[in-house]
Amino acid sequence: MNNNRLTFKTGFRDAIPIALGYFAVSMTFGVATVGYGFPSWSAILVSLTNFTGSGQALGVQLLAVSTTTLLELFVAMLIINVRYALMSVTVAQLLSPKVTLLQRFVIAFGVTDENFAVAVSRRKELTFSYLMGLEITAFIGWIGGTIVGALVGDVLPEVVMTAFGIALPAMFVAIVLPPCRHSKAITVVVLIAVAMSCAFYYIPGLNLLSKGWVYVICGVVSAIIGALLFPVKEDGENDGGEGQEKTEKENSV
Amino acid sequence: MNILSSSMPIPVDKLLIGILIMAGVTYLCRVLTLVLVRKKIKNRFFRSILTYLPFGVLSAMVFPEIIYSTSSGGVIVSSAVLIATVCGTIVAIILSLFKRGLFTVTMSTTATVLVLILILRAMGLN
Repeated sequence: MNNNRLTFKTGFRDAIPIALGYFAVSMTFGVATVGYGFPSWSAILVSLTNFTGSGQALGVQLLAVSTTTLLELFVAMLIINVRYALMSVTVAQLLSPKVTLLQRFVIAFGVTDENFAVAVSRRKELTFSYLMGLEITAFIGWIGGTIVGALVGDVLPEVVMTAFGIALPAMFVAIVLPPCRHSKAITVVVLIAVAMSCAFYYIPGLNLLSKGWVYVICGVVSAIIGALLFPVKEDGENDGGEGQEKTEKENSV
Repeated sequence: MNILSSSMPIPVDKLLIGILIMAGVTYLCRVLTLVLVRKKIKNRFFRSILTYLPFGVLSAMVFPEIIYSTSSGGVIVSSAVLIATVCGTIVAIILSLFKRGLFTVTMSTTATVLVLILILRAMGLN
């Protein structure tokens, strides 16, 4: 129990940069949504029920166009969100055995890109309390920003909001790059993913593919190449770094 | 984008159903694998993939998009903002490689971008 309390606190601490970044992003979302002609309550309702940046922005943009059908909305949301299925598999593998089924349903709501990234970078067994500390704190930032944005509008000067656009991407850099210092495998995976992502961004034709698929394709392909070149060690140590040699036999299930 | 705001208001029923679809799809994508994959995956190849997956997905999300993260809609209209963002990205990369914490990296990067935009604009750059 005592241990659990500490873990909630750790989650809370880990989520502070996320919550700050979220506040800025969701404030922009609130302002933009009201700007599209939506009532303020609907912007807040979207943030309360969705808790995802890119998906919300896309969904609201589609809803703002009167010709959008609900089927189009459904398909677009599926494509942009499919990466979460991958993230949830990873989280599922790291969950403490004590986490109940019901708790899994609760945890799932808060599997955002940022929460996922921070939780996974802990490289430890994830407890329910830790994840709650993380997800609730981040959620408060998300909702708080939306409410301020939707009701008050831009309270921060334009230049500050502009600068805050880089906050969450910068956080991802801080998660992805440090392990590259000690792991050749992760460095290779990161470089492949970045090269692919740039190709999908800049090459005519390839750049027509929607973002949701690009993230999934780049992530899966780079991870498969990493897995083929640098299989992780048998003992389940999550490093995958130095061990290049394939000494152990393939472990069959 | 401003054309949209002048269109007629969205009917409340369509809005509510739309929000329901958005929330439902988002939650479904997150919950399905979290609830269905209950056992530890033993297969070494799949475990390896799952180990590397976060790094692959997150890197693809950050690069090259971080360069456009400060421009609305990803369209760069201000050279001051672009220069500041490129410098901010370099700061983020260097601090991360020196293993500074999340908070330090995030705040230093944001501050760099903010200060540089202000300086460049003061110098007359758009």
